[in-house]
Amino acid sequence: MLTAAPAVAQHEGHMMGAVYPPWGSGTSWLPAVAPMRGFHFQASAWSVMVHGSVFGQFIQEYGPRGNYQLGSINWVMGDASRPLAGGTFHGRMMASAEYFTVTRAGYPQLLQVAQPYRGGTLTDRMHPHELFSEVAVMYDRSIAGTWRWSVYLAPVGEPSLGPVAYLHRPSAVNNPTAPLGHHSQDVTHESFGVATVGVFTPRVHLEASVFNGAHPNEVRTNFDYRGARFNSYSARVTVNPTEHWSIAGSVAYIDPREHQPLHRLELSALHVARAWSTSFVWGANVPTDTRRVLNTALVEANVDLDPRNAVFGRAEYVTRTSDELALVGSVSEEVPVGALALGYARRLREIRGVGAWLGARGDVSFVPEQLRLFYGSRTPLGFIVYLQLRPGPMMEPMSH
Amino acid sequence: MRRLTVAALIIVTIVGGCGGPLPTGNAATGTPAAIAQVRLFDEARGTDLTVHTGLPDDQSVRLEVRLYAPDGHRLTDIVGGVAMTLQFVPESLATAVPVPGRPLQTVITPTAAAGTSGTQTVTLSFPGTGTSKTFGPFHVQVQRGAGGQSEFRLFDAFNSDFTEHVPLLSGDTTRLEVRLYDSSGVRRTAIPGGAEITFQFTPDSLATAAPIPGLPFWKAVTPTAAVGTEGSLLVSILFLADSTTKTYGPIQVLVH
Repeated sequence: MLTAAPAVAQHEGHMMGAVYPPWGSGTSWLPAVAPMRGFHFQASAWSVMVHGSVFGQFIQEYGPRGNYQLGSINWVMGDASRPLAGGTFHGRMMASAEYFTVTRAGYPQLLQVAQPYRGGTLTDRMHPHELFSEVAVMYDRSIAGTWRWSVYLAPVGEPSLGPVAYLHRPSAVNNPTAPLGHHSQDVTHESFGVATVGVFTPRVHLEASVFNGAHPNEVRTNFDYRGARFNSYSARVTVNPTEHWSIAGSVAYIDPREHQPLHRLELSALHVARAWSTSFVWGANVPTDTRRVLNTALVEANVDLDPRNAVFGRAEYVTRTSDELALVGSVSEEVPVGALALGYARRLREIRGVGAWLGARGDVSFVPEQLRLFYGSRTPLGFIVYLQLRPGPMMEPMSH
Repeated sequence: MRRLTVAALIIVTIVGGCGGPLPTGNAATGTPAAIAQVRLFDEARGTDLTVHTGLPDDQSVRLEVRLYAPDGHRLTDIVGGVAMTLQFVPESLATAVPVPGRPLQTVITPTAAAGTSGTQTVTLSFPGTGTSKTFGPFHVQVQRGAGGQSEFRLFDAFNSDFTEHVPLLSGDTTRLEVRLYDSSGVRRTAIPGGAEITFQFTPDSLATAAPIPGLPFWKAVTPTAAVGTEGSLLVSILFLADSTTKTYGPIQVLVH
């Protein structure tokens, strides 16, 4: 017997009107009342969740390094869980067609980290996601009282590092693009080889991971296991003091192999209350050779004015290196930059649980004088208009 | 409405990724004022040395400086011409000798001990305008060379090592064998998936290299230039298993 209804994805039970444990991306936690959108299918003992987002967008970034593109930013995620040996077993998969819909070069985004491209270097673009960015199994079981333990094994997945990946944050549900600080905050959500163990109560989650620290190569349709090793480590503490907050701190040693190893430090606070979803993220890379702290900070919010209208925004500060901008020898070794984006989205229609949203976002970047030559001004501009399909508002959380 | 939405997304998917040209595309001519950045490359291997130039202490590196406009387009011709000099800090780090006829190339030879670090600065001079531009500093480190542990070596049929220098006898054909070694110095006698080897001479008129049936790692090399002609040889190996290419050289070649 198969039934389907919009539901809360990945959430397994009620606790004081919220859901528990409030899994986000990988093994991260959301606030317990976070509105997750998806479809729930019950098939025999299996509880299957599917959620995702498909943007069809036009991006225009102005200035010498700007560009334009018509493309699609998209992802879909499935989670199948069932009771097993006194605990809960999960199988997960997340996929994206961006390699084809925004091309191997990715989509235009001023000040994003430069990436290798066909033997050269490409700047001011965000790379597409992997075709398969999560293939994982997870199991959790009670230890005693409210304590549970969990293990997460992922040929491709996310270690216990950083905030909930931006794709899954309620504060970014209407915002199609990656944060500028992505490579210092949640870039490891596509790691090829992850093993995580954790223990948790309804309020506290302690976890540690070993993972392959190599950044995926520019071919996004393969599995990057050449030379892969469990050479990186992370640990994260998450506290959900109330059902509205999720506060996390994590630290990692990462060996990307293609350049100097680094330490990464993260703090994040995610808040959800009624129509407001807000995220505060601080992340820093600390290369082991220079020991310089390269800070990034983000504030991101989404406000549902009513079921059909929403406004959203993101403000960021990022310390870029000249290497990240592919400007070694032309600008200072470290360059502070910023960005501010504000947008509006309106739901046009909802059919069978899938909402069609029309949205627009304007953005302005802030660069120092030494980057004016490359960006045409101290405040280069850009905009996005899009049509988004995503599961509609959830009905009620599922429960065991 | 539903049809319109689905149609719009199908269109976006079909034309997905349509956008402006990437700056990695066509090279162009520019004025000195248009040069906003430079990148440094190992001319023989094509590797990017901009972030870090590692100099093996037992060989020279031919450095090529590539010029770029603010939008990232490469500038291959500069109106009025351009000349380039390198300055090392400390000066004892290395020497740079210009390559005749190649104003943006220089041969760097380390003169400091392995482990020594420093920087190099690129100064571009523009005869047409009498102006100059400076870029850098770029990080440089002298590294211990591969020595006898090199992963590539070149031999003739009499087992003479021609890795550093290939003497060619005018009117004669020399058989050259490419030998590959692993990191511990053990010779690799089998390449999974096979490999294709290409010899490229500079100038092209220096010699020809013909395949030898049944011997994929051998080439029959015949000089086609006059006695006394000097040039170089690059050996490229295409590993068929993963379509990666490695290039070795330049190896000095002299027609006797």
